[in-house]
Amino acid sequence: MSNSGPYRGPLEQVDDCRWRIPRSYKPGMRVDGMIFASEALVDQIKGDQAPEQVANVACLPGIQQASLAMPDIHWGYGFCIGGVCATDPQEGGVISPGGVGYDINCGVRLVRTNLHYRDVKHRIQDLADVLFAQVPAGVGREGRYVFQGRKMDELLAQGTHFLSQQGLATDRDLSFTEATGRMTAARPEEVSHKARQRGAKQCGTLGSGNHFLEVQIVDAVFDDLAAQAMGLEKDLVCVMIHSGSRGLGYQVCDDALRSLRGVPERHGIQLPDRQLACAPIDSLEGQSYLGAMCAAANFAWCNRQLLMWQARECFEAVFGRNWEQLGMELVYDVAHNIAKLEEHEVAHGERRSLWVHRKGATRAFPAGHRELPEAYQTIGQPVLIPGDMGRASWVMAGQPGSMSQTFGSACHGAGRRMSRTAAVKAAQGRDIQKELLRSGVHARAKSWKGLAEEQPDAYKDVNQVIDVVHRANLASRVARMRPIAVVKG
Amino acid sequence: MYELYGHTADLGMRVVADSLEQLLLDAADGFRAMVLPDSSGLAGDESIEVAVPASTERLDDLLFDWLSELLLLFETEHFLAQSIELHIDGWPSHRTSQGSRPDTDAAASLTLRATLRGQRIDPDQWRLEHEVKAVTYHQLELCHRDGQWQGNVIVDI
Repeated sequence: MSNSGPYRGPLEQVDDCRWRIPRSYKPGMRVDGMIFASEALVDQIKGDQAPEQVANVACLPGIQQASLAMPDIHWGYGFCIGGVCATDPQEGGVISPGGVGYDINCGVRLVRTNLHYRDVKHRIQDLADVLFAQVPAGVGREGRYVFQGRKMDELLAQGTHFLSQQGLATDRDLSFTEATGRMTAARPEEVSHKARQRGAKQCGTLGSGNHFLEVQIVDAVFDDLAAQAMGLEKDLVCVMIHSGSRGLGYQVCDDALRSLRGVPERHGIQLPDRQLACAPIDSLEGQSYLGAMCAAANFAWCNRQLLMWQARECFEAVFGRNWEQLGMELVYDVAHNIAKLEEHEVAHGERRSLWVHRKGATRAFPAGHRELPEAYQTIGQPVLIPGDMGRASWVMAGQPGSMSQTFGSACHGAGRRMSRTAAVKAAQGRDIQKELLRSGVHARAKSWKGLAEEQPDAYKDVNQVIDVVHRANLASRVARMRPIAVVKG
Repeated sequence: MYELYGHTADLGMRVVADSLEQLLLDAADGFRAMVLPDSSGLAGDESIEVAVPASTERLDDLLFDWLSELLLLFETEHFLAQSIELHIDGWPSHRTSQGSRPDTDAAASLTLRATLRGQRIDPDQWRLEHEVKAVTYHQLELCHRDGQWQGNVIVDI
C-alpha cells in the first residue's frame, strides 16, 4: 500500500496513552489495532498511513490480542515501523519478513567505562578521530574480519558464542546480550550464497544511514537503583552502538520476500497489502525464513560485538590502559528488528508460545523474568533508545506493563519527521558538523550528505516518545545520555 | 531518463524511456547515482556479463531483479558500471517501437542479458553517498503508458 495522504480511519482514545482502531474498521481484521501515543503525537501519527498499516497487520492469521504500535510509529514496508504483533503457531499463526524488516536484528548496545567527562573532555577530538579511523563505517567499506565457508556457518549457528571461542567476546559480553547473542533456531543452510557473499567482509562494520557509534555521557539519572545496577552514574562516559546484520541480513529478507511470492495465496491467506508477505510458521516456507532470520540475527549480534571490540581497542590506544582497566563492560544489547519465540499470556490467562514480531520495537522484559541476567533481576531489562545525534538517547528499564499490554515490548527510537531529500534541502548553506560542535558534539562522517540527512532536525523529539512509554508502564526512565562524539558512515 | 526522489526514510526513482531496454539502462544509471552521484571519473576497463532471467510473469519484477543484480555486484565486488549494453531475450522487436501498445505482462520467458563496463572501486577513494540495503516492492511499477515506458522503484536505505 502507498503512503499517500493522511490516515482518515478511526482512532478511538482509550486513555491518555492508548488509541484503538476497532476491528470493525475494515474487513479481515481479526483483532483491534492499538497505538501507544500521546495526543500531541497522534496528530503526527495521523499524518501518514502508518495507522492503516496497523489495521492491515490485524488481518494476519493467528494474531493475538491486538496489532500494536509504539509511540515512534511511522510508515514502513507492509508493517509500520514501531509495530509489534504476536502470532500463535497453534492457531495457524504466520511469520512475516515485513514484520522484522530488511535489517534483521538491527539493534543497539551500550558499553560503560569507568571514565567520567572530566577524564575525557580534553581528549574527545582524539577519541573521535581514532574511532573514525579504526571502526569501519560508510558505504561499501569492509571490515578486517572475514567470515566464509565453515567459519561463516559456525558464526551463523552460534552467534557471539562462536566469537567467544575465537577470543573476541567474553562470557560476560554474552550474558549481557539479549538471547546471549544466539538464537538456537538458526539454520545456516537456509542463508543463501548471495547473503553470505554480501556479509563475508561486513561483520564488524557500522554501515551507513542511521547507524552510528557514539561516545556519550550520562546526562541525568532518574532511577538511582536501576542506574546503579547497570553501573551508570552522572557524567560517566559510555559508548552506544547502533547497527544490524548488514548486507547479509538485507539479502536474507530479500530472498525471503522472493520465496514468499504466491505463498500466502497457496495457503488461503488473503492479504490487504502485498508487502505483508507471510507464511504459516509451521509451513516449509515459514520454517525456512525462520531459520535464515535467526541466523541473520546471530550475524548482527556478532557485528555489534566486533564493533564493541574495536571500540575497546580505540579507547586502549587513546587512554593507554587495557579495556578491562577502563571498565569497558557491556551494559546490554537489544534487538529492535526481530521475531522471537516467547511465552506470553493470551486470553483467559492461558500461556502460549508465540512468535513476537518487533519491527522498530524493543523487548522490555520486567524484573523477575528468567531471561535477564542476575544483575538485572530486580530492576528489569535495560531498554536502549537512541535519539538523534544532537540530543538525547535514553536508557530505560522494562516494566510489568509491557507484559500485560505489548507482549513485552517498548519503542526503539525517535522516528524520522523529514525525508532524506527534505533534510538535505534544509541543510543547504549550513555546516551541520560545526552546528553539532557548537552543541558539544564532535561528529565524524564518511558522507557529509549523509550527515545532513541524519541531522537532528530530521528526527522527531525522542523525549515525547519516552514520555508515553514511561506513563504506559512499558518501561521506565533510568538515565538520559548526551552524545559528545559521533561516528557515522 | 531517471529522477531520484525522497520517500519517507528512503529513496525512490522514476524512470521514463522510449523502449523497455532504455528504461532498464536509465534505471541502472539511477541506481549508480544513488550510490555514487558523481561518476565522472569512473573507468570502463573492466567488463562483467550478467544474465537475469525473469523470475515471475510480471514485468515489474524484471526491473526489481535487474536492480537487485546491480546491487549485488556493488555489494560483493564494489563494481559500478560506467556503460551498459543490454538486450532482452524473448522480447519481440515490435514491443520496443514507439507508439505501440504492447501488453506489459507475460514476462516469464524473458532473460535480460547485459555487458557491464565499469570499475571495481575502492570505497575509500570515492564519495559514495547511500548504502542501498535492498530494492523494495513498494510502488514498484514497470509499464507502457501514454506512449512511454514508465518505471518506479523505491530502495531501502
